[in-house]
Amino acid sequence: MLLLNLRINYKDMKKIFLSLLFTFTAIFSFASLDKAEIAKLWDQAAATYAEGDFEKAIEIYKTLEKEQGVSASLYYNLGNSYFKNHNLANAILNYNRALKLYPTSSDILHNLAIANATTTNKIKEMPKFFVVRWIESARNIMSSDAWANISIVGLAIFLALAVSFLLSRNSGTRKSSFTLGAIMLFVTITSAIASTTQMEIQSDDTYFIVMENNVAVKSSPDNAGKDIFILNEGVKVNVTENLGKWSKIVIVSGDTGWLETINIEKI
Amino acid sequence: MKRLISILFFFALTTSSFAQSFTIDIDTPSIVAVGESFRIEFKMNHKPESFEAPSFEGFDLIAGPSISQSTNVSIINGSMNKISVYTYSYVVLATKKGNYNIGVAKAIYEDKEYKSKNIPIEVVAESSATSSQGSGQQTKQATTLAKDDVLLVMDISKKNLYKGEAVLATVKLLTRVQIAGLDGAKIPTFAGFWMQEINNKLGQNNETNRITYNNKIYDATVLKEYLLFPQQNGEITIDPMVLNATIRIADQNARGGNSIFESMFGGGGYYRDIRRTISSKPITIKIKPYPANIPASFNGAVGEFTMDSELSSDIIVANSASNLILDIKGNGNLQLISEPKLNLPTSFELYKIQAEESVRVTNTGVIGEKEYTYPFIARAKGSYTMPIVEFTYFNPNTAKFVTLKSKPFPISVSADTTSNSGGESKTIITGVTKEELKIIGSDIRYLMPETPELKKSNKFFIWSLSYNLTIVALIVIFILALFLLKRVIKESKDTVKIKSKKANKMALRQLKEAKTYLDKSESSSFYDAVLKSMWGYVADKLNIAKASLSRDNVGEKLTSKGVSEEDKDKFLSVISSCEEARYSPIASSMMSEVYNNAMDVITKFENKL
Repeated sequence: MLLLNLRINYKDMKKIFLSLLFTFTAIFSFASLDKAEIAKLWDQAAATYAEGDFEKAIEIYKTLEKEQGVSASLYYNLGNSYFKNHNLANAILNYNRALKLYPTSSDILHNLAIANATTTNKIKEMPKFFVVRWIESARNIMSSDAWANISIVGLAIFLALAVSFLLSRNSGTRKSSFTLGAIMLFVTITSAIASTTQMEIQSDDTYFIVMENNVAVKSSPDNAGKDIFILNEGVKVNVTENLGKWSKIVIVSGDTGWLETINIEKI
Repeated sequence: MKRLISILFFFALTTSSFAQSFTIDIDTPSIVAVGESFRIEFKMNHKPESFEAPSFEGFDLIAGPSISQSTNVSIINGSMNKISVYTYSYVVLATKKGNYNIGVAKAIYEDKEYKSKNIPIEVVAESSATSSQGSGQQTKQATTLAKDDVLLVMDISKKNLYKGEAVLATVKLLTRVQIAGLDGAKIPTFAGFWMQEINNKLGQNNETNRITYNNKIYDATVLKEYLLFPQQNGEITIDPMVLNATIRIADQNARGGNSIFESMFGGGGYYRDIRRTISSKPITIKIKPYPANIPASFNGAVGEFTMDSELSSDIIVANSASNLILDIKGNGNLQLISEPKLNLPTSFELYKIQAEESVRVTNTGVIGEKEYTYPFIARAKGSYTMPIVEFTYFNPNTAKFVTLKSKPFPISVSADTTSNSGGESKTIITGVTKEELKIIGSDIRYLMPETPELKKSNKFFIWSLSYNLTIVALIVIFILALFLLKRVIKESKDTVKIKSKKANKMALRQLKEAKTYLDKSESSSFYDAVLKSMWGYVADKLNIAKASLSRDNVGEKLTSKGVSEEDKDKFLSVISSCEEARYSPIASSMMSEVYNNAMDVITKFENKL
């Protein structure tokens, strides 16, 4: 009688779980608009790129971006087209956008490095503390969503171990459940943190790319301000403040100043 | 044979002299002033049978025709050449301003009618009426010198052009007076240009032709011609050219104009020389930048070119040389272009590139060819394809870049058998040592080929609704599981309690049964019943499965439950006496004692457990 009761409960739980899973997948799988059409345009862009008609390739990628949405590889391919078309600023802009969506892609990192090497400005980046570098590279092993999934799995295992800890009367089982549970809790929390920071970095919209050459960075937000330094196209800047047509920027070397917002574009 | 040749030669000579067709050339100035009388000459190479003059519409015929004949006989290397010219001359007067055609002259020669061209003449309004004796003789000996009587003009064929595009600059001397000499020429530096001089006629006796400039008639003489190739973007100003001219004017005061005859026949040599510095105007030329997307292989070539490529030998032995030859032909700044880049595989060694050019500078540009020879030595055997050499030029007429490519020549390199101590294994490969991986140039990586899933915005799973729901669901499952499992545990605990509660009753019932056996004196059934009651009691009380019951584990369990050693021994003695009695008939006398002991043990245990 009791066992039967339990079995029903288990079946119910399974049902609940499956339906939950189903709703999640339903939420994630968005309606894809004529996928064959996108694939056709995509291949067409690649073909024109191969022929050397980069302007046409740019046009196709931009239509896709405007009408269908974005992806890391779209931005990457668009960046490539711009680079081959000698439009450095747009190339760097799109590589940065691609990197935002896919921070671990070696292709994007490689091409961005080459594009950055071709820019006029060579700004020395402030070196980061090695521990920070380690943590960042560990965080970038996986995407935000992968970390989120790990945190979910970690939480599930942790809870299962908590059940076993709370209900078991065997001291050995309790001990091992406690240790494992603590580890799983740590994994859950760190992966949630990693996922969150990645999300924050990726949705950080304060980074911009300088699109013009010889942009004067001034000491104050008006034309009368003294020129502090000159930036050329392709330089990444962090906008900290906006005032009318002017933006206060910080570059990687730590130098700061004001420039006209029309000269920069959001990553 | 010789004779035949000489006959043929004779025929060739005679036919060539007879073959000359009848032509009418017209000699007239193209620009005249109103009120000016000038000469129009019709020159024919044969005497016409009849000649009909044109209408000279718009002009007044003053004199003519006057017919003259001249014959020029030249003997060059024994061959005689006779040129006869029959000239019909007319003197006409221009009366009104405008553009006129002199009309068509007709001549009949050997029963065929020939027509002259209808030549236009521009008549300009200008006060100074001077009589002109045919073309090229307009220069008068003026008595006074106006400011604009002598001008230096620089003409530029194009004022808006691309960097590297050829432009023709012509320096002309315009005069209305007689020039005795020119000196002290200051030629502009043409800063910002690469300059090629085409003609330098300064100080020579030049052809003149009449032109109008600022509504005045001048004799124009081309002094210099330059081909200019701009080398920078933006506006470039050409400095003026400066020249000292010695102008000869008639000096009326010297003789007071006494002799009419002398003045009639050219002033009799009384003249005055005036020196004047003349200078052209500075000219500003606008240089357009190239359109965007300059190909990487563009190296400054502007014009129109073709390229041929050739490989001197396509089968070579390792360590021997071959040449790749590029021949660029065309019209443009050939001298300014640098050699196209050849990126040979690393097992090839490229030597100094030789360039040879043969060009002709003309009014329309620099025409010619440039030949580049790329000598190289192959160091390792194998089959290779020569890398394609790209040459890009800018065509200013279409405003487009054109890239020419060399052919991808296959080249096969065989092993060098002559190398020291023989054997291809010993082939010396200089410059190519064992390397890990030579990065020759860096380029961006290629496109990502897979069609991606395009999202309108970047969504994150973390802290999204589904993420949070999942967490909530997990916690709910946890709580449910905890609750349910706890209940299961509790209920299983309850069955133990019930069992132990019932244990006493069960044991007493079995003992009661044993009592009936005791009364009937059925010893074996009695002991069985006691044993069953005892074991069953401890099994239920201590929650031990009946199958795993043994003296040892029951003893241990009893001690841990706080049963005294004495009671335990009593329980165990009851068990052992029952077991012994089952197999020995003498034990029947102990039946009541065992029964009492068993009752005692259960009572005692019932208090403790």
